Amino acid sequence: MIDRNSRLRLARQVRLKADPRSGKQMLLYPERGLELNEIAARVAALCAEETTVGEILDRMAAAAAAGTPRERIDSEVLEFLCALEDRGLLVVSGS
Amino acid sequence: MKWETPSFVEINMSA
Repeated sequence: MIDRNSRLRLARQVRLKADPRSGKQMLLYPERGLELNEIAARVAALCAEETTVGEILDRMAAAAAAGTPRERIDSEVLEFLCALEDRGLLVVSGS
Repeated sequence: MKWETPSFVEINMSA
C-alpha cells in the first residue's frame, strides 16, 4: 500500500517516451503500454528517479492551477500511483 | 497548470 512516506521509482523495464504518431507520453513495458494524459505524464516523469510520494504530491500541488483543492490532488495522484503499482510498474519501499 | 484527473489508456503493444 502506497502512502506519503513510501519511496518509489519506475521499475527497471519501464520507459517513459513520447509516441511518435500521437505525441502523447507513453509508459512502455514489455508487450504493453499506457497512453498517459498530461497530468499522468508529469507524475510518471517524477517517478523516473527515486523519490518519495510526499515529494511528488508537493511538486504536483505546486504546479497545479491556483484554487485546485489539495485533497483532490493528493487523492487522485495516489490513486494513479496505486494503479501503476498494481501493474508492477513501480518499485516501492519504505511504506 | 490546469488540473485534470491523471488517467491512461492501456494498450496491448503486441496486438
